[in-house]
Amino acid sequence: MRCQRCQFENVPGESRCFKCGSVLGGGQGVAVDVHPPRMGRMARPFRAVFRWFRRRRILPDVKIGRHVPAFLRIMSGDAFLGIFVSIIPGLAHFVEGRFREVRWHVLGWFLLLLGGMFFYGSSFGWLLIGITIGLHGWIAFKHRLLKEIDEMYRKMGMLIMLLIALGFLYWGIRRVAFGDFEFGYATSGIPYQNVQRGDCLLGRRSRAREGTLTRSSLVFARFRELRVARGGRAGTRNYFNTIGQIVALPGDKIEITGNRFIVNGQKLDEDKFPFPGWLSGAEVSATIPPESYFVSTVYRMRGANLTGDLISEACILSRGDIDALAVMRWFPLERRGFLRPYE
Amino acid sequence: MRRFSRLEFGDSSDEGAEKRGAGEEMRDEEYFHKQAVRYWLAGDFEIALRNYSRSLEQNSSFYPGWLGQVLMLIELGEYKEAAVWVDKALEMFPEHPELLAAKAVACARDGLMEKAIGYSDNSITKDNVTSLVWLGRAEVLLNRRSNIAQNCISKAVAAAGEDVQLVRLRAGRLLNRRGDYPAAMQYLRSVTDELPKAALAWYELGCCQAKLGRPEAQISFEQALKMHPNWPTAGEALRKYKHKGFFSRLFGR
Repeated sequence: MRCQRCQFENVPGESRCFKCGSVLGGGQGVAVDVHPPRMGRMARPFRAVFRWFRRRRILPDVKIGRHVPAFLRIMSGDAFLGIFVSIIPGLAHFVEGRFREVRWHVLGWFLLLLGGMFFYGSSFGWLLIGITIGLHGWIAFKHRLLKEIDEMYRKMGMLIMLLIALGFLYWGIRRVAFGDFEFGYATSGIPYQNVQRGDCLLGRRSRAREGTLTRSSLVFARFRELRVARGGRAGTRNYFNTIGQIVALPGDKIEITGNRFIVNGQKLDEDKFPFPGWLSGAEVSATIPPESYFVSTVYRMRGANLTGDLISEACILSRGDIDALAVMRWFPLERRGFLRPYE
Repeated sequence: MRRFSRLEFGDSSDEGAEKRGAGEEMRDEEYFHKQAVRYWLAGDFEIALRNYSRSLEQNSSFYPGWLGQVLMLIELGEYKEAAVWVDKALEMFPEHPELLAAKAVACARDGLMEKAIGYSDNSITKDNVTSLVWLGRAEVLLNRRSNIAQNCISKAVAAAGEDVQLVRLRAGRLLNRRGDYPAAMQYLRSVTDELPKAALAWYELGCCQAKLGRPEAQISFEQALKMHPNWPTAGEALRKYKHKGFFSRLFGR
């Protein structure tokens, strides 16, 4: 059998030419895929952009050497495109023309995100959001992100860097798109509101700004940090954010005596206004200044030498210190519901 | 044709072959190869690619089919796919200079000049350097604005055997792409003289003429459309030529 390329006369029955290695004419029995791969429709403009850069020597046209850091090396080819398209689930598959996979990725991502938002505040919710972020990494990985990086530890490093970057992206999107909402954990139980310590509460900043704060409202606020110095003397230091309950409104006269709140001469119900343990035995009498509120919260200050002035300094907050108004018990699920206003 | 009329039953009678009729051509790899070249000359690269694939379906070791697929992928602007497919073809035809040259062209058009030079150097060192190899070399050198490119094209034309018109067409297209319109026109004119039904040659000639501000461009585009009616590329070129602005006409651009 004569080779078409080099004209070498081969032994009959051979599939390749002995001299040049070419496939011989009688190779019909060999199953070979003869249909070439095709470019996705959406890939054309992206490639044109990268080609334009390569021709102008803005992007390197050869594989960059090993001395260049991996995060720079990925900029030289499809890897950068891989990262870019992984941000929007399904886009990578759309670009590659794998349309059937687009809906599965979009649907999967959407369901995971929805589940993560629904269970937000719980470990399961964090797991779902983590998987959602991981899905981006998986897409980037599958879309030749790490093809040009040889070493395994660099691949892992790149993947971790990508996931961290995507985590920041999600955090940023949450800040921008859901900036009005605030989540926090209750520091004490309030039987009237069916709130238990550790419950995740959902707050809204706009509601706090609109001036709808009433007595018994749960608020996300910035409190002064009480510290016990040597000798049991307490003082205020930095600020910290937590959830508290408004006990007295501007202009109210508040008294703390006998482990009860007394506002304008009326004793407040223990179910609606639970008395925090750190105030046990404290005696306070104060009038709330305008644009300020007496907000009760929990400190681990039992046994400290607290004065009335110090308590007032810690608990009377200006309006600017209040971030958001809690409107909903978000987690656990069995107690999810809106908070009942007292007044 | 009946569904089971072409089943082989092991007998040696040639009645079926006689009944097929003497005028009908056998649809083997050569047939589809000819069809592919015909469609390429008509400027329909997608159909040409399909015909090359069909020729390989008939015979997977048919070398012109592999080369044609690669060239059509390049024509369609799918350079990465072309490079992938060249690698696959090189598994079947190792170190084939034409395939290496095709890969050099794909890399050059994709802006990967270092790779293109490497593959072109490799292809030129092989035995039996064909006109396609020289044309690939010319394209790579033209990308580097080298003066040797013209010599490579001359060598390509000189090395062409029976397919000299196809080589001239490729050379003309290459020069047109690189902006050497007068030289391109020389090649393309000879192609249109010899192959007057080649719509692609007419279209390329029209492009060169339009770039040089020659009024014959309109005739060439119309001729291309006559050979390949409803060809959107030629139609668009003709429309653009007809609606050229004042300054374009003034400066012949």
